[in-house]
Amino acid sequence: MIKNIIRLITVLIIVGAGAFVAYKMGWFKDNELKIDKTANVVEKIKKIGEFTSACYYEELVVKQSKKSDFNESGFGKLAKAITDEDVMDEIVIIANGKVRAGFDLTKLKDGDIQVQGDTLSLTLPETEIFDVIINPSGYEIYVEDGKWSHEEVTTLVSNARKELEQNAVAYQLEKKAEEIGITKLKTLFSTFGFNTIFININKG
Amino acid sequence: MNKSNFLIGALAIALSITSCSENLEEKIEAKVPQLTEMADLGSVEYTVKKIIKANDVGEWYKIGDRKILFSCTAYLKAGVNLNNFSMKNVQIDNSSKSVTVKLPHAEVLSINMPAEETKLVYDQVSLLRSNFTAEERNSLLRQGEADILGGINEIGIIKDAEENASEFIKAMLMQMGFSNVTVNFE
Repeated sequence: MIKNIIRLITVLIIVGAGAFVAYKMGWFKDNELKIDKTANVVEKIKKIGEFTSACYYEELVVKQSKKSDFNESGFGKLAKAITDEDVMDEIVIIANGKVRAGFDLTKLKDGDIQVQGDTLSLTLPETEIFDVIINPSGYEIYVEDGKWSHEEVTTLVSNARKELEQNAVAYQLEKKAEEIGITKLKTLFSTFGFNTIFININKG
Repeated sequence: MNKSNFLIGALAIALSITSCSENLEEKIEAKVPQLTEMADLGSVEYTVKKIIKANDVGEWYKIGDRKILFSCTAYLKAGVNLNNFSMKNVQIDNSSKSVTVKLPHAEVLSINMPAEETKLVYDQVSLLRSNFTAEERNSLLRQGEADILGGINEIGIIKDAEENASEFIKAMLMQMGFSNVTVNFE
């Protein structure tokens, strides 16, 4: 009997040591999941004339918690009976986003560009926000406790995107894009031999 | 001895919790908006659709597989970066009212892959495997985004961007009184 127990313990120690060595050698390591090669299908091509003069960057932290499904299980109910607290799922996302703004030059009309000798007068449309961008490469799941569906994560990233746009507006991005844009365009057009350049903004 | 082990353990746990929360606090504090000045002329926008799929057969010690499939839309804008544009890029002949403009080659200026337009179409997980986590799904979407950017030479966006930018600058300079406008990319 004792011999058998010693044999069993020896086998368990050998198996445990083997598993430890295998783990240390990376035999249990998860390889990064790779996507399969698929085509990039161009659905639409649009001509644009966007002069981007300013880009606003911000890092946002969005978090959410909810009651865990675990609370509905037998163990969950038992845990709640003891602690009188629900188990919560939590997610924290750190999102890096950018907002691009500038002049849409396709809105220039006949008469918006006027030249007299070496004087150029240009009437530009008001600046606008072109893009509010938070791409998958721009966010990281910092904390993920429990189950979070794709739709729930999408809603959080969407909210971060809305917050980013609001912050950019509050930062007066469009006004700053206008100031920077005017300076950049004056420098640009001066290279074409214009000594005096007037740029007005069509506030209509 | 047991008490001291317990104290050391408790201290280690407390330290790890504090360090995690400090790290998060640091990240929240790092939330400083930044503004960059630019001079990009975007001349074309491509809307690209892509299926992002993965089949995870798992490692040797895992039983069963997992499959996932997303459909996503990305908006790519391309054009020329005029930040370093200077007198060196322009040659003017006043007598014939001609101008030659040298522009840098077009490049992709932005990619926008909105989360709302990324749909999870299919998701199947074997009984003995765990579900895809948000982090795993994000990792796959990141690869999809990189794949779209990696394939820009195949879709012709750069050529279109240069043609449109050239056309746009020619029209603008003609309105400014030049009769002959030549645009080169280098």
